[in-house]
Amino acid sequence: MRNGHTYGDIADPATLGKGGMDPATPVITREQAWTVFNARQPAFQVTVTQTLANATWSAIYGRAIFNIQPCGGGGVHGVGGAQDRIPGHTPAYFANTGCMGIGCGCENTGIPPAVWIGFDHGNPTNKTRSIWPRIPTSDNDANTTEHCAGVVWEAGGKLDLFSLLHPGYLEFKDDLYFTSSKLSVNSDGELEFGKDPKDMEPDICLVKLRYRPRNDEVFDKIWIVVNSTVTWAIFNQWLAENPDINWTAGLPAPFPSIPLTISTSWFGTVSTNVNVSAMNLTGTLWHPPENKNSFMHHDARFEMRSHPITGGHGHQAMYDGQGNLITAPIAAGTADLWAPYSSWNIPYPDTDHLKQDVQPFIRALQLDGNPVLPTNVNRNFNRPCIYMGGYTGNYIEKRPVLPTGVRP
Amino acid sequence: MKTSPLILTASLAAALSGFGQSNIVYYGINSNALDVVFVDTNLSQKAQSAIVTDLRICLSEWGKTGELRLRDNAGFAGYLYIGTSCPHYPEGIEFPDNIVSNGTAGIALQIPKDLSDAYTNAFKFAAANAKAFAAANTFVAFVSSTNFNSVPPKQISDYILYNKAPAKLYELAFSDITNSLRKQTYYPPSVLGFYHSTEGPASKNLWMFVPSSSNDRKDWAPFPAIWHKGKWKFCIWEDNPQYNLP
Repeated sequence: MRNGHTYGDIADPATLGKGGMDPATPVITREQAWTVFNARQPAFQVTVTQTLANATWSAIYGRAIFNIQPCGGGGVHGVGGAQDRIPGHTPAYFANTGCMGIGCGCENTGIPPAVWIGFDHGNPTNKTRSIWPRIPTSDNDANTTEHCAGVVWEAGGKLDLFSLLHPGYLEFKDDLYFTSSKLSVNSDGELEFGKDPKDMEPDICLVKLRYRPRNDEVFDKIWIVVNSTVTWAIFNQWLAENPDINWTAGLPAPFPSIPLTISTSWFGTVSTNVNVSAMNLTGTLWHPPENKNSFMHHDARFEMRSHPITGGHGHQAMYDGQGNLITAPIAAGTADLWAPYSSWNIPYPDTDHLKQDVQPFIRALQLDGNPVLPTNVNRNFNRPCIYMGGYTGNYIEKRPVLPTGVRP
Repeated sequence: MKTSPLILTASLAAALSGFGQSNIVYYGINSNALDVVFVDTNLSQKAQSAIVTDLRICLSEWGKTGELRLRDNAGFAGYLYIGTSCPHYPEGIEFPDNIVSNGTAGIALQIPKDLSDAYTNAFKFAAANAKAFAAANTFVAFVSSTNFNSVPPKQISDYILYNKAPAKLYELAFSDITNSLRKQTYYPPSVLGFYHSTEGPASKNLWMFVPSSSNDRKDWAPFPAIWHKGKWKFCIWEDNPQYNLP
């Protein structure tokens, strides 16, 4: 039991002393804390507000506000899952105390360490969500998985899942195990690679870390994305074939924003549309904005495409729900080696744009560990992305967001 | 425009008749023979032959990069590895790749029951849309031939469809359209590559994936075509196009 306390009106140490209190000493005893805590169950933490007065100087009084909760990682035995440690889902280990408050009383209680077990945020293989905001889907299990790791298949390959955990798990290893939605995990906690996947069809495994003593409670979750050797080879070949971006120099700069019209129907439905008539596109080399709703550009809502310039190159610009140009990948648009639309604004009936601009983007995201499969002939993903890493960064270097800046 | 000699010989009709075929497919640059076995032992010989014929159509060009990767797991001898997804098949259907022991005959490509069921349904679908299915190969053969180069601007709309596009647009964009289409090589579709969708001008539209390749057959992709007014036409459907007309 810990009863870390904070002081309201009499928070400075001198005044505390006049109040007969010591910053390092709990306000009440451990036994008293248990009594208060147990009287208010169910509760994870109980907050107590108490008026205090000084026996000698009765004019000095104030309030003590302090919290009471069991020692440990928030669980009965001081062990908890990082999955439930919100915000951040960060695993941690405290050898003697889980109390972070003033005058906390967890020491020397004989209580096991306070541990939040989960995938280590500092591990170079693990990646933690860096693409915001979260886009909820109907799959809550997927929505709440905040880690991913991209690996490349190899014959007989395995991934030691325990090696991905924060070291705090070690004392509890025998009580921990992993399950996976795809492929298999052996008794040593290794994810065993199966067949070499096909290009852009990685084996996407939702791996769950489970704790046996608590009915196999899920302590943390991670996507492991096992990519094809072909995906890795083609992406690196594509990088080598795109040594510079000089071709982007002639691309038109995009508009910093687009005008929107917000209207409400008789039924109260609010719709946002582009007010195209308020834009002067004459002589700009830009086609009018269109609605866009694809996980490939995360939360972007509108898209503009440029006419092809000499060489067939083009520029894509994405805008958010307020009509502002998005400049942060992956929601942002990029330069295209092959413009997908002609100057008549018809889609070209070939696969140049698909092969040179779209599929390298898909491969980069998958190699970074995003648990996404292309759908609708490579026009969307089956779920939102969560992480932008080195491969996607390499892609953006070759297909920059704003190679010629923004229109004044 | 590149042409594929295979188009002249392979046809959906062969897949649909399916008689006279032994259950063997060919893969790899040297056209290695590989037996085919079916998990569904109740499947008729006619259905088996039709499926094998369709597998051959898929493997004839796309399968040239295929290789066997064998291993020693009990009941699972290995797999047929082709690094890209099958451009003949729609999303959600996997080309079979399990290689199993086949008694004294050695090894065989195993067709799972869900795939043979999908084929069985596709054959019924083909029979119900016989005219469109028969026209599919004619369309692919024509757009792959040099005769396609003689199509005048006023007739290009017989081979490609843009939503709500006036005739003038097809003529203006004629060179863009034909130059694009000529960048690819087209191959006969699989019977599995046909599907209905609400996407298109009607409430229910028949589509097919036309397998295509570019970059000397390294880059494969399914290219969509729609059955429109009794003809197959390439189509990238857009609900609300904003054409840039003069």
